[in-house]
Amino acid sequence: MKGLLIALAIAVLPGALAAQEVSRGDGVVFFESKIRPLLSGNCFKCHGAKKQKAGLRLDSRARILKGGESGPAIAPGAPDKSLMIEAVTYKNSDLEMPPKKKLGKRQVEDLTRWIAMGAPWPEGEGPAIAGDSQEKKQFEITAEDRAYWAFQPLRERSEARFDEIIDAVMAQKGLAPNPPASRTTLIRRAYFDLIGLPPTYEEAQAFVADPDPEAFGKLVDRLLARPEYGERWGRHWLDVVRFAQSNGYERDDEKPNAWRYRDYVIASFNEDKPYDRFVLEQIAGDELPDGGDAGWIATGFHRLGVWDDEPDDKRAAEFDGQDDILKTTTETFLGLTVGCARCHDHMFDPISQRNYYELIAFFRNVRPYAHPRDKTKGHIIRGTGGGEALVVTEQGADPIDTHVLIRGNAGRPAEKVEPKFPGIFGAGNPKVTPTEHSAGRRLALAKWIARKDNPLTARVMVNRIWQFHTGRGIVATPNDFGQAGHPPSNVALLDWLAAEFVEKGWSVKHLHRVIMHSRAWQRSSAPNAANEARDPGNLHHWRANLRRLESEGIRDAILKCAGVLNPERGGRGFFPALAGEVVAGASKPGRNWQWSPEDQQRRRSVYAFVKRTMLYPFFEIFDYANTEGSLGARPTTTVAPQALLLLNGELVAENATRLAERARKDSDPVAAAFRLVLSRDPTTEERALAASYLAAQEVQQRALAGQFAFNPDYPPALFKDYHRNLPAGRFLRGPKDGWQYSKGRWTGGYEEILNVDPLNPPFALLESPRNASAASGKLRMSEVTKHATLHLKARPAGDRLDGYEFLIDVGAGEIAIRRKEGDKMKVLARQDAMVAGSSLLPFAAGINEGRLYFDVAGVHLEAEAGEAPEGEQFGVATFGGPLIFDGLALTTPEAAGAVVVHPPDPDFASRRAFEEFCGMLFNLNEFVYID
Amino acid sequence: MSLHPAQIDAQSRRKFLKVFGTSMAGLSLSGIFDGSRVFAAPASALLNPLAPKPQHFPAKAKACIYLYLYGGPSQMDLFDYKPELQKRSGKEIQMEIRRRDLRKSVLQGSKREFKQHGKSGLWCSDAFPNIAGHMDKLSVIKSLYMDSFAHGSANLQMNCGRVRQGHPALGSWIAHGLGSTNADLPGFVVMLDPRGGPIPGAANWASGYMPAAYQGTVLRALGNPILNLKPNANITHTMQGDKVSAINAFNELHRRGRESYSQLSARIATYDLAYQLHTSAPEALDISGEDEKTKDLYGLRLPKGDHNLSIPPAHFGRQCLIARRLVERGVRFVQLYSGGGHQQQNWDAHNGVEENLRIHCPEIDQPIAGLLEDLERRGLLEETLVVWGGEFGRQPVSQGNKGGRDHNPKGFTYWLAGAGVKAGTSYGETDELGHEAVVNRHHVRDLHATILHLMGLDHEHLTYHYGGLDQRLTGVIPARAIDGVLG
Repeated sequence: MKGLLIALAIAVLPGALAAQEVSRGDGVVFFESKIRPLLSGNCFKCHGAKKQKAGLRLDSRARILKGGESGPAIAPGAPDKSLMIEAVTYKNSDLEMPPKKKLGKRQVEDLTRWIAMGAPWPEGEGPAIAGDSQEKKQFEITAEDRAYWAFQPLRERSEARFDEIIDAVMAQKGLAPNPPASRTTLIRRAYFDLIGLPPTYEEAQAFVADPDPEAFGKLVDRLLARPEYGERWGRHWLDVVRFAQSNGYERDDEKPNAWRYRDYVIASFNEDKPYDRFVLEQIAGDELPDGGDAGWIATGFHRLGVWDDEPDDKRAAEFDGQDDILKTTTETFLGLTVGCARCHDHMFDPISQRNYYELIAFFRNVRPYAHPRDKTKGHIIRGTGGGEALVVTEQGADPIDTHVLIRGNAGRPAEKVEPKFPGIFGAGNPKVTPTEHSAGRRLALAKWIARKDNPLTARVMVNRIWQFHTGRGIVATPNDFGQAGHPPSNVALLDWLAAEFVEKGWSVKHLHRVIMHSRAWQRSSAPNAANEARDPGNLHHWRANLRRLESEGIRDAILKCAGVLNPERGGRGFFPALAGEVVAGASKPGRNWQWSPEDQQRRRSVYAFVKRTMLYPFFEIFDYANTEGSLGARPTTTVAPQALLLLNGELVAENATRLAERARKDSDPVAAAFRLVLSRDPTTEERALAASYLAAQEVQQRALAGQFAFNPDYPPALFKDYHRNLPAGRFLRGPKDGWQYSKGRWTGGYEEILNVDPLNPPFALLESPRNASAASGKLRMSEVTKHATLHLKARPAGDRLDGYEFLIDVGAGEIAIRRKEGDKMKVLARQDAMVAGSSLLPFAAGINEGRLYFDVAGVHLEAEAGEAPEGEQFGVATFGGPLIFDGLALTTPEAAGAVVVHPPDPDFASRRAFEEFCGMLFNLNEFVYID
Repeated sequence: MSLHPAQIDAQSRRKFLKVFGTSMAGLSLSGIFDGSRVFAAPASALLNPLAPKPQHFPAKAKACIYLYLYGGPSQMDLFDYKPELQKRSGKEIQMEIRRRDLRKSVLQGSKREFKQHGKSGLWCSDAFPNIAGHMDKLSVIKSLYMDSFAHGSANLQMNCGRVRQGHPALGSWIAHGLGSTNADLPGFVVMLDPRGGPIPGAANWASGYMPAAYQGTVLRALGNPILNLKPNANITHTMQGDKVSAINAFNELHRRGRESYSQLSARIATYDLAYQLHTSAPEALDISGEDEKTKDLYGLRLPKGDHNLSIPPAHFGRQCLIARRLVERGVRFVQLYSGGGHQQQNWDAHNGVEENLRIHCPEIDQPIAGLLEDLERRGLLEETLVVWGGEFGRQPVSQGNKGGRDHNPKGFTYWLAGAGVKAGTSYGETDELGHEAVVNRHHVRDLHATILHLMGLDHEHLTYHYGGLDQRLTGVIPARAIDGVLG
């Protein structure tokens, strides 16, 4: 182990430092933090890459040791024998360095100490300035690079419209186009494509019956004019720009006002903002002379990325942030993956490492890491309502220098670069005009991207639009038009669309019309074996693709069909209700999550709050966007958790009930449900299936008529604020009418985290009847229920229940009668008993002539009742899993017989059967796929 | 043997299906998705993301159990014995406590007693009296380092290979590389500490830019084990079966004329799998059939420690036992978290390392010893890789006035046991104070390469195309498996 530690005992230094030690690794740290900045700030100007006065160069350890005309500059381990120390201490009047200004006392000490440590320098590092990038093979743009299709100008358009371009390829490949889809199919396709919601039955019928030859065109125009259009297409864009409303990492704090950017995007689509303007605003809206509020808000684009508020290495984190902006910008607008060139020249595309840093230079002044809590960084907008927006902030008009970083290492800057467009585009140099608050560089970049003759911008955007209309882009890798991406399936088609787009003023809505009026888009999705053999992926558009709805489409359609979709637009958004197990995964479970009122929870999915470390499972399970980077196309998975979600999830269950209520108002509820969910009538065959299912369900439901359940839904640990905001009825979920709920007892508070007290879990109290002397009926738990309690003569005492408690402890194998009062709990009777949690058990618990009794699972317990507690209510609690009652009845002094709690209504079985049927409809392939 | 409830239900369902005249196709849990490279594959060539895939080369390990000590356990109090530190305890030293931030600090020796154990003579402190009995099974790597002094980015790097958020977890890579051999259970399972999840939550088992099918499935100890696994209490198992059958019947009608769209039949199959999960997942988690000796082996009846933040060993013990049951049933990757929430609720011993060890060591000592013994006696240790460690280690200097230790990514300890591991080995060294890895230093990417290697995967060839690059767990900086710990 010798030599691993270097003891310092330096006579020339003050005593405080003398006895201290530094390990070898920490020596490098010392070098990086003290010595490198010292050398580069004071010495390199004369003894660096450009000048080597007196033959001395100080930018690598080897060169320092080699020294200059006067010999080696240092003697490692011996500061007193080192020329450098002699020079900086001005001891020799012939050798005073730096000549103009003597180093500070602390700096001299640092240098002395560094030499005494043996002059540690990072391993494997040659010169500290310039170097490797020059030593390796020269980056070169080849003729082949220049000939690559994506860098070519758009092709001249021939007379052919794009259907003819498609037809020509099909003919060549021997593919027969599918016939046009039926109007029933077309209207559903058009609705989901443009507004992301299903048509109503009436709308579908009217369209099918419409004799107007222009009916389809009018339909498209109507849909494009609806505000839901922007919500649908805005969401597509949000995927591409890695939109989220929190920073990620440990605290995952909210990005204040990020929602204004989301609303800006939605509004931009709705007003059919020319795409070139849309580009300018997002990259440099603040630098536009006529940018206005929208221009400022649009620059939120730069602030949407993940941000580590506690980075290990602040210097590296700064470049991570700029890398995030550059990658998002180039992938989004140019379909170029330049991120790979951060550390070395791009492996596939003609983008050099130098090009990367020249592009970084456009964003070098941007402060992606302005602290989001720092309110002064927000921009006050003047529009109606005012308020703040999350906007780009720059470090003033003077640009910070940008250097190539050797291997992407922020600590190893090499040559300085200026903002420049990558050479492959031959676009010349940017003209930069600084603004009052910024270097003005972003606007130069934005203008170049938004130029009509930029070969990528229009192609990339029309490809995205085509993709969202058909399920696949002409270039299947929408963010990568480079060599590593997919080649276009039909360049002529892509270029035709791009030229049309630019020619018609970059109008996205115009492009929708062009695409949707095409024969290609209107074809049926039916299979054709011969075509499938030749073109299994439908690359040549001989049919429309069957597509599964995205997560948002499924959720929004469920709410719409149930008749409860809340159309409220804009604003911060809502927090979807999360199951307890989802919250449990956070280190502070529920921190920065909130409880939104129920009507808010029924808003469109695009308004759901996007928190990076807690994505709403419904979205995630159905392939919601990865929010960490630009995402051009979501994968479409088909997995069992999706089936579980639609079979058992809360959203479906609640809305199935609402749908059932709507449909049962109709004289033909089955047909009504079909119309509401699928916008069509059921077939005879489907009616027979439905009748058979409903009949079987009804028989089974009859057996459950007297049942109701209490189900706990919380993680064992909860963050304080979330615990406070969550309504009590979310902790223990049971019948709403007639019951009061309490969160039960939560203890701890370490780091503001509360833990549930298993002895006093969340409970429910029945409002009436009061003063029950006995409870009876049957009860059932589940295999995960740990213990359940019934309470008589109960009353809430803060977060606990006072009174008699009848306990069934499945986990411990015990049945007991207890009495609770404040902190005190007295066991009045108990017996070991193995209870099968999941079977239905008859029970009776009560007070009879001064004695308590509890009969359950073959056990009979009795105890002295003692003085009656003051409470009057009947209560229940359960821990670990549900508690289900069947025919619960209470005996009271007032009533002659027992009073049944929630007596079954005569309609129960048929109502519940129909609710299940409605829930089933939300699971159908026809509901989640569009033809 | 009597019929399992699932079989009875299957029979009644078949009857129901007969009425509707439907048929079912068997497929794996995670089903099907269109194209690993974003629609790149033709629609007819659908891929099953968790279909079993061959190893890159033969390797013994079929599964991995990763015991994750969230917060960063203190190496110099557990396995990395440093006599020099003991000798110099109380002396001042300059030490890097945060990146490029040298602070004047005071060395703090361990209060634990160290002994050599077994034939191998590997060191283990008295903090783990039971694990100490299994040192001959372990390969202890004492010379790891990684890139972050902060929990958020450190957990991400340990789990996902990068300090930046947005990359797939190790378990996701293994699921992507090997698929799952059990159609009824997830391929990558995570079990959490009841005190909360780790910083920064679900990002630690996320699939990043890969499809969500590869992300870790959290199995809960309390309540429903899997999200949405069970219907509401007002639906019986039979009713659920009927519902699935009815859905399938309607879907079959819908499929007419659309037969060549295999995603439709794939989706039909996921309903059968969802239904099977109702029984297969609880069965895997149900430890009531384990004998009493086994339960004691995992410490299920041991009392809780005397600290108010500690929890009974039964929590981690039950999870270790379930991990064994999952591995037996073909799950590839099981990650168990010891410690949750913040500070002393996990291994993050800023506020007193002795107190921290007193809280947490008894929670996992017997369960881990039991797991190793149980795996061995069942012959499972030969095909199961066990990994032990946290996101980083701790400093040899004291912090605060309660004898705490701060984060230390520059040198820390992991141990491996089981399939393909060179048992009874101590590999690598920190400096004589335990601060920085100096002999046979290995970055975390080498540990990842090693784990993949032991699972039969070559980290250079396990790739996923995203952002213009064939991404790898180990990133672009060269990595290599640690030969010294391979058996």
